[in-house]
Amino acid sequence: MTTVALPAGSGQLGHGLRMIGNEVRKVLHLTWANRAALIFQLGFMTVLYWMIQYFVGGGRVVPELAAQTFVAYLAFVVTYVSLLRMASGLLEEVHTGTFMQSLLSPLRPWVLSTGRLVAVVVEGMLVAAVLAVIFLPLLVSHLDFRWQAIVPAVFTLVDAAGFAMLIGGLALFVTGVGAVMHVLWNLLLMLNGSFVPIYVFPAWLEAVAKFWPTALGADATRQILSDGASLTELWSDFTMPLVIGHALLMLLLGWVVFHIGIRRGLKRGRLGP
Amino acid sequence: MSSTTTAQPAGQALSPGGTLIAVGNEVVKGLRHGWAERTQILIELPLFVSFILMVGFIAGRGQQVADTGRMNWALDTATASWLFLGISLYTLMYLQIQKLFWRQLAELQTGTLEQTYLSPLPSWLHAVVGRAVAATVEAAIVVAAMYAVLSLAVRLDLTWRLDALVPLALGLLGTTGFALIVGGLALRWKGIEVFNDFVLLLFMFFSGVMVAIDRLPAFSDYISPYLYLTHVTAGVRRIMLDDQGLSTWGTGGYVWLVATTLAWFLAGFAIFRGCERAAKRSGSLSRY
Repeated sequence: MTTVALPAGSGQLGHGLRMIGNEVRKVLHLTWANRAALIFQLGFMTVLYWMIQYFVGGGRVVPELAAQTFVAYLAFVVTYVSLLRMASGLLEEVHTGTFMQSLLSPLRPWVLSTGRLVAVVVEGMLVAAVLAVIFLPLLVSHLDFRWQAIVPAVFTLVDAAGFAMLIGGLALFVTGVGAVMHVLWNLLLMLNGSFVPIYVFPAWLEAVAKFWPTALGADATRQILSDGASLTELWSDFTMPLVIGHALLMLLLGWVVFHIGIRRGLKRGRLGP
Repeated sequence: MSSTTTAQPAGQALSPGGTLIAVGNEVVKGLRHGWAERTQILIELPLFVSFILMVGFIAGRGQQVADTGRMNWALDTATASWLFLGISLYTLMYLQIQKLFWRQLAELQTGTLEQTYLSPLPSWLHAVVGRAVAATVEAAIVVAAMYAVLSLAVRLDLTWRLDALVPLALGLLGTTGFALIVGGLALRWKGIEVFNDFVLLLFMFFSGVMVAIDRLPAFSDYISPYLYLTHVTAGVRRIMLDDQGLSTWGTGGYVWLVATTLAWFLAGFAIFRGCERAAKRSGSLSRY
């Protein structure tokens, strides 16, 4: 029997980084191998946004409104792709038995999870980038591009990643998560500001929306790009601390649930077919 | 070592009575599946209810939001009734397709789908019949909840007539065809979750569920008439909103209704059989 020796204590970080890189490469390879699905994914995302705006505009797209909702929609896209890959992809691996194989790796489960998470978020960001290229000509005159927007945008991504991990972890506990996935992404779409900005919501709905993943971060980014707000202003009115707090809490919650799911699944033998 | 054989060898034709019993069993099985998924239904209910409220409130308010940064959160009877009928019919189709798809995908991935080929019932019947009944019951519950909640917010002006069951029944037939297409493609290709969502989205848009057909872009003239849901929705609205019987011709008339639902059913049947044959050849019935 052959075993793989991992140098004790040394290079754990280096191996981890290589592993994350390999995971990202693997996911991109798989995405490319499955490019027909990618075309549908892009088509779906493009048509969905156009359709929402066409509907809200009463038979035409209102560019001023689209500029205020587009960031939230991009956040939704990253979350949707991450959700699909983290939960549906994970369930497929569990059913086919390959998830157990991945746990045979000499690397710790948290490194594997990080690799998986980074890979799905990268895939989501690539899809979002293509959409941005498609829609920006329509919106460019209504947006003021500033680097400050990157800060809340990054925390929005962290929020999305945490949520995907949370649902991926729940999928290891609850059979049938796949069948209610559409509930999650539809609610996300309705509440994160992709239809209309969340400040238009009635006060109670706005408060509910702010608990939902990506809504706070996307709104902060919108304020910078669309309303001309600065990071200092967003910090002083407590928006940024809330964005950061929400994102970090979501990541922590997702991380904990995901790893409990793996540990419980291993104990009960539920991570295989 | 002794072996046990079934009285009805796989593939052998059943008598009409036997077929009825087998179909009845499939329906009971589907309903049991539905009952086992009652938590899912409870989770889905708020989604559909909030969806119909949300679209009812924001339909056509884009310019108002862009100009004033505010929105009047009020519903009017005509818009709400019109949207309720469209979205209810769409929900019926949506749930049936989603349920069939996810169940079949799980069976494919776990390898239990191949076992269903031991049954003397045709595979396409297996794929849709039980699940269709369960999804219809489930959709009825969801639609009833949507009606109840929406009625609290606004008065719905609907005429309840029995002849609305005609386009409804034809809609179920068309949806069975659509479900067979999705099921067939899932047998052959992995990763079609997004394709499924995409096609359902196109259906929602081009069949006039949320935006009236005459307000859709010009190119939709090449798509909308060929979707069975366009005619089902138009037919039900004509009966329940306008209090008129179905016309013979035109959108939502008998001719288009019957032609499109039959075409979708037959196309579904053919695609399912074709994909099934290909899946058997490539051995992807049990695993991709």
